[in-house]
Formats: sequence, structure tokens, C-alpha cells
Amino acid sequence: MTDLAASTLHSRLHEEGVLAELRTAWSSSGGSIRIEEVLAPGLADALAQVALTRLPFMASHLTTGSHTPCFFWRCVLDVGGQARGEARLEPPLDAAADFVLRDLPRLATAITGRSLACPEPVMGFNRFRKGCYLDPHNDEWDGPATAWVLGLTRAAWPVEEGGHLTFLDEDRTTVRSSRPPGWDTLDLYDSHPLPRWHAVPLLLTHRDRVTMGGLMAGVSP
Amino acid sequence: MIDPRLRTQASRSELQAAWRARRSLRIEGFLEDAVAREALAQLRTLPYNVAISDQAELSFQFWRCAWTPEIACDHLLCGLGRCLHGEALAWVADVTGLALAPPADGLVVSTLYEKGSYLELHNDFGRGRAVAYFLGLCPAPWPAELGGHLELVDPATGAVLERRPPGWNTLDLLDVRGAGAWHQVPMLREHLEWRAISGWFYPAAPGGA
Repeated sequence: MTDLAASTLHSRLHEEGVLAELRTAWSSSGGSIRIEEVLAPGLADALAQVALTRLPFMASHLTTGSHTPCFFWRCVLDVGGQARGEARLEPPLDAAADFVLRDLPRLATAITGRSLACPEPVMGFNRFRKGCYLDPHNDEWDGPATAWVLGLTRAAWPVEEGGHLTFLDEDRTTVRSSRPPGWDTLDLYDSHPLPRWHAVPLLLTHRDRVTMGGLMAGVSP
Repeated sequence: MIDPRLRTQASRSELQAAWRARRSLRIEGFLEDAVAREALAQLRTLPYNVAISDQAELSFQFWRCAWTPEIACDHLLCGLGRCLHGEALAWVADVTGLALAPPADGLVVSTLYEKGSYLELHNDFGRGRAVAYFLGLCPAPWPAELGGHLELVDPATGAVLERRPPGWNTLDLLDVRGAGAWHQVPMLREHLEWRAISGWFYPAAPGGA
């Protein structure tokens, strides 16, 4: 694992005992867990602050065709330069890039037992506010994929208000489980080739669900 | 473009009386049906932009498309725009007894409510407007539980005084000169389409009629 001082992860995620527990949880859950206290102290605050005040979010709106119907706000940042060792992004986004490019894949690899990496040098921030939703889908990908969602939402609200990460049965309607918006949480779940249907139901109230998220793909060892 | 049956004296008298009583109307079959159908078809080809506000005094999220009707353009939407600001405006003025004028910028606006769209409670008061109008172009209605219905609300109690389902070729009029015409559109919860041409007519003279 990365040198502890430079890591974007909480120090406990460098402890073999903690990793062993997470591997057990991953295996027993069939490949879907939530990890609490993910980031190094202060980083979640910094990322949430920059997301809420500085990032330019654009409407992500799809209603027809082969894409999953959705409406939410998304900001995608190119981290290719930092990935190539060129100029780093402004803090704290440089740390976010380190998390996405380096520490997250290594953590996920340690937990899942599969070599994982983010397939593209980008990182995405997402905001779900009143009227936002992401319809049921299963993250189709060319090969095995593991989805991740970093929770940057301090507030909590009932599932009836919407905006929770919801896992569904094959009928894409029956709810298996829901995870509320988390603060400094990391949701990992295998999303392909398992047809793990999931959604973010329509947010009915004035809330602000802030996350980072994406897919990690398997890489050849 | 306006349905000829609305030009009869009997029709106008009936609507004038209803307006005097309630200061709010829904007129069925406002346009010639072929005009309404072609307008919807053309609106469905236009790009809409998200209109959003989360301010405490007015919160909304829907989609909006605007155009300025060109005088010499024979495109149906330009013609419909000229009609709305001309012949239709005069018709509304006759029914309401108000001296009315189109918006100063001449824009015609189409609003689209899709899943997640909503318009919170407000009353359009204080901006110099006289009559709010919604020309509904929704081919089929749906139950109120799914959202997207125009609700007229008692601000003192929050009670819904009247609920109007998405209309096909309907013209809704609301008197917004005073502070009492509170209305809202609850969030649309399914993939449905509430499309309208909507806006305001303004007083033609200071203080209105």
C-alpha cells in the first residue's frame, strides 16, 4: 500500500487486520459493501467544500435511447496530466485525483482480490438535488467491473424522500436494500458481469446528495 | 388558429361570466386541433434548456424553450407566436375585460415538465403581470398522484382549491394582478410529458383595466 504519509486513505485502511475484515465482508456479501471512515482526516471536508462552492456542475439529462434515464448534476475533471506525472491539480482536487488514480484501486484490489484500475484518467463529482434521479441500470461494461461511490454528504434523510443508493431485484422494481447518502463512506459493489440492478430514486425534497463515483475495471496482472 | 366556436357571442359571454366569478378559467379546445397537433410535433424537435431555481421564495425545475416570432416567417411556431401576442391576446382581453399587452421582449415560451420537474407554490404577483396563461399540449392526462397537475392553492391553509390535469389544447388563464392566485405544479414522478406554451399578458396601460 501507499506510503501512509502520502495516502489519501484513513490510516486504519493500511492495517492488515482491517483489510482482512473487509475482505471477509466482501466475500460474505456477494461483492457489495460500505466502508466507513475512508479518507485521511480533513479530506472529506475539503472535497465536500470544493464540490459545493467551486466546481462547475452541468446537468446530466438522458431520457431516451439506450442510455439510462437520469437527471442529476455532474462535474467531470480530467486528471490525465496528474496521472502522467505532469502538473497537479489545485488542492484538494490533487488529493482527490490521488485517491481515484492510486489509493482507491489499490484498496479495492486488496479487498476484492482482483487487480482493478480506473479505466480513464477522469474523476467525477455528482450532485443529486430535488428533482434528480438515476433510473435502474446495471453498469454494463466490457468485462468485469466494480463500481464505487464516495459519500460526501453530511446530512441524512429518510429513504422515502429519495436520493438513496438502492439495489433492486431482477424485476428492477423490488428493493433489496438501500444505502443512505454517506459522509466519508465508500460503497463498493461488483456491477458486471453480475446484473446488479441499482438506482437512485427521485429526490422529492430539498436535499443535496454529493458524491464522487465511477467504475473500476479489471486489469491484467 | 383559434377554434371558430370560441368566437361566437354565446361562447364569449359564458366565459366572461365565468371569469368575473372566479378570475380563473380553463378553455377546452382553444386552437384548431390540427394547429395544436402540428405545434406539439414542432415543439418536440426543439432544444429545451433546464430552468432551475432553489431560492426559498420560488423553487422550480423544468425545461424551457423560447423564440421570438418573426413577422414574415411562415413557420407554424412563428405564426402561433404572432397569434398568441395578437389575435389570442385580443380574445383573452375580451373575455377578461382587461386591456392587455404582450411581453415587452416579445418572447414566446414553451415549458416542458418531465420526471423530476416541479414548480413550488407562488403567486406571480409583484412583477407587473396581469394574466398568466398555459396553452396545454399534453396528448393524454394521468392521475394526480403522479404529479404534474396545475394546482390552485389557498395560501392560508395549503388546501388545494382546484386541480387541473394536463390538458390537450386547453388554455388556462389566471388573474395574477393581485396576490391571491397561488399555484403550484407538484413534482412529476414518472416519465411523462407535460408540455405547454405559457407566459403572461401584461397591462396595456398603467394600473391595468
